Amino acid sequence: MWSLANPTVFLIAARRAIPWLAVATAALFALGLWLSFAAPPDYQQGETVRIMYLHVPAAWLAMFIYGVMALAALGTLVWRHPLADAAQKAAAPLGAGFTFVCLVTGSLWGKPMWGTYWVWDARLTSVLVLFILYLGLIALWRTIEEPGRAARAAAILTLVGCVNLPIIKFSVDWWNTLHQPASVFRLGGPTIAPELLWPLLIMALAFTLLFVTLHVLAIRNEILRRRVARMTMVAAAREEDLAPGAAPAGARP
Amino acid sequence: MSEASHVEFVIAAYAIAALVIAGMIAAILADYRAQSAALARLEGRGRDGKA
Repeated sequence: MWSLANPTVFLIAARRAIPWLAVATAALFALGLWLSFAAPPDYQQGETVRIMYLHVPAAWLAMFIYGVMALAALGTLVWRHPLADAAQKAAAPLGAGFTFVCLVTGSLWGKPMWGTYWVWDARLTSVLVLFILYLGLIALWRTIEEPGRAARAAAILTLVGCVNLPIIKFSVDWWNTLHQPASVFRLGGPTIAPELLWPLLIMALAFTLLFVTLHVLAIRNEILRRRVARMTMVAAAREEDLAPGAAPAGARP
Repeated sequence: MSEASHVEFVIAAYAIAALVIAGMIAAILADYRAQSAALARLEGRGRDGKA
């Protein structure tokens, strides 16, 4: 497992794994979508319950990806491993994407069920804060030019932002919210009927596998980007040395 | 609650989710092509420089 933390080994392993991951993701999505539309409508919500098969997996991923980024942030700060930073940086846009899907699908589910697209209750607001955190982290990487400094700053901000995860999870228990309480992962078991629960679990697995596939692809891109940056600097230094009439190295400003 | 009139919300949710996911996939694949092309160009220049 640790040998994968070497960028060259990771690239070789990724090249082998990506086709399998892509096929497994597509197969799980095909099965999940078929089950989602074959499942009976909810006795209260009718057809709108089908939004759950997108909204709930996207919400789980929004939090899961932030957890992955927090672990990678520890890898950056404690072990200063370059692949940990690449993993964290590659995950942020995916986290933002899935959190956006969670917010939009939740809003589209809320309008027919609650009569409004949005309320400033604790669950919705804390997920919006998570989305803003993802955007802030992406902006931070783009703002700081020196990659090492950017990695450390992003790692610290990621770890500080972790305080939002328990707030999201327990907001429906701690405060009165329009959002319903936990109905799948709860003491006493799920409250959802099995014919609705199974499609949801398959879709959650499909979304998770999609994230794993995209994350591997994005880490590979990040490793290549760093190689390009390093080789560009080497090429520029070589051209400077070969330029006719170039001043001696010590005389350069 | 009436469910028949709410199908448009289901369609909109699936369409937007599909669009966002397709966008993420396309962005990652485009980035891979760009980085691979840049790497190939730099490796070519390195070989020419050594020759």
